[in-house]
Amino acid sequence: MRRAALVVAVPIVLAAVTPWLGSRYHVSFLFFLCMAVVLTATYDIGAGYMGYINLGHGAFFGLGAYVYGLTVTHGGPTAAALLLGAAAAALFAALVGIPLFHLRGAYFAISTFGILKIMEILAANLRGITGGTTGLSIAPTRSTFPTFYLMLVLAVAAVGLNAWIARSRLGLGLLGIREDEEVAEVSGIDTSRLKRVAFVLSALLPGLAGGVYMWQMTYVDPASAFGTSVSFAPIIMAALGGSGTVAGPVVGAVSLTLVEELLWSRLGYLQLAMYGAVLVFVGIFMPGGLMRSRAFGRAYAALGLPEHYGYRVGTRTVRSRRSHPSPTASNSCPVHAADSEPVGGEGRGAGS
Amino acid sequence: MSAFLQILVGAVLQGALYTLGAFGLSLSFGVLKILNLSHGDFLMLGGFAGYFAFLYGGLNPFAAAVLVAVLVFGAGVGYYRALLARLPSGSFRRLLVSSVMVTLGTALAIEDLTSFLWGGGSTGIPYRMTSLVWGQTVFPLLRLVLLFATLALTLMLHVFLTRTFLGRAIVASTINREGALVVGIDVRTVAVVTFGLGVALAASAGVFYATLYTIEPFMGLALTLKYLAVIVVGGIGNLPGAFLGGFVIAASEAFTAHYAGPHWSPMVAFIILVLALLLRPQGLLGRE
Repeated sequence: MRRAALVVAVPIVLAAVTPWLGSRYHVSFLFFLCMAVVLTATYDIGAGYMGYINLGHGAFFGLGAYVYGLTVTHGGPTAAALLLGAAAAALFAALVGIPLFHLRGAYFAISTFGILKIMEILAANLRGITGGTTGLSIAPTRSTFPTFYLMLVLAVAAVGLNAWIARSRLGLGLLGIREDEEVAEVSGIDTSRLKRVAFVLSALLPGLAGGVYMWQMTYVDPASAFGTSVSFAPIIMAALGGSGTVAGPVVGAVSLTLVEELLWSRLGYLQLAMYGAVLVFVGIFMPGGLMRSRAFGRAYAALGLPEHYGYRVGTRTVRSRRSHPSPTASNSCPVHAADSEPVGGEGRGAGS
Repeated sequence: MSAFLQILVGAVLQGALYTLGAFGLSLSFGVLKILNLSHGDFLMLGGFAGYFAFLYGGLNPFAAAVLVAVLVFGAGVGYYRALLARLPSGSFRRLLVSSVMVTLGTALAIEDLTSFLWGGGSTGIPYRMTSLVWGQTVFPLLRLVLLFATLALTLMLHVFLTRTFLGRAIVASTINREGALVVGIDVRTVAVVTFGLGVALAASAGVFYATLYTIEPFMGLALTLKYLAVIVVGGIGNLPGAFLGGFVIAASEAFTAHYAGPHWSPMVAFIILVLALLLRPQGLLGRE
């Protein structure tokens, strides 16, 4: 347990001292790394726990960025601008969630993408408010310290939120929805309320992160706020790391950002193609992501991290629901047990 | 009045083109249950192939469309065999997740590679025909011929789907996959043919698209979404419905562009998409 605490604390402390010890480059790199962690971890609340793919997760981020920028240009204080951005994102999620959660599976995914596109076009066309395609600029800030620490706090908070969800009643309900919504419904889970709560939770921190991003960059345009890359990067990172685990989004965000920084920023092109190749590879050969691969599972166990935050999110449910261990859970390799998605088995009846 | 009519006639052409491009998406979603987010990129690739065939091979768009369709059919079969047939398909949700990952990844890779090789910027096939002049009215001959070509292709597709065994097997598989299996349809072959046919149709539509409008490497994903709107409005796997959906979307876009300004027209399809999913997920012509 002490080792586990170290594994969590050391990177945070290292990141926290970077502004004093590292260069501007390091600070900026870590800023975007933390942003990736925020977006990926919050995206995974929907995709990983609830099983609803949100192809327009960047809409929350973009809304936060625009609301922050607009509040500041109209003379609002920074703190109010940040909070307004988060509130706008949460309100947007609550409102959009009402009609959208009548849909499931592919239809839900398609409409979230549609809504992202609508937001992008609105941002480009409402020139009087948003500045159109030329974008929105605010006065630059002197120090990068506050934005950096805020983003770091947000990243820690996002992972903490997922860790809490993984252990909470809410998380159990969401896993139930993911595995079989009808069964969850008849088991007494208020699925429509839970889905909306999870959606709002997944919108809050990206809204804040959008505000912090705007504070740091002082400029936003429709493409950088609502463009496809903001929305697709979290999908790719979560899939790579392991969707539906607490550590997975962090692993995915960190590894992909690192690879991108070390290899592709030097190359300068074909970055999207690299994203695409990673996505295809993971989708076919590693649908459980890195966290559920054997090597990562071993490393994770060796670090002494609690396994229910790693590859075994949701396994607790099996123990309480079934008196005997399920055939897949007694598999010799515990790492792959999580792949069998214990709650309801594969679809209907296949697991029983 | 004349503007109204002109917009309406233009919308028929645009709608027919939408139908041709979109119907493959409807087939692959209906038969394979795969949400193919890379569908629009095959249209883009078809457009570029037609462009190069015209520029270096001197092929007119109609011959190029046939050639491109054959080539892309092969590419689609290869793509399906190599990647999509291997998707983990334990549950519907898992198939959805992995198909989104793989087809989105392919879309990003295709778009970025095309942009890298092509060098960015948009282009079109500079193929022109003389216009027919009848008194005061000018008929753009190219548009008319393209309209007839698109309609002919759609009609051929309709005949294929309703009159031939393979076509009927495809339709049967969209309606009830298990039922199709029970009556002895080789669903696997149907799946391969469906996917190849779908992207081949999109690619040939791409050649026509490039002749009428301009194409650029990053158009694919937005186009896929627009095509989803077309097939959702019409109903999955329903060709007459898709035709109606294509026309509805093309007409609303054209009228929005005319009355509210062209910068609002890209939004129409997305609004219609979301509304159609919420109000009539079975499509305009579909039954409950």
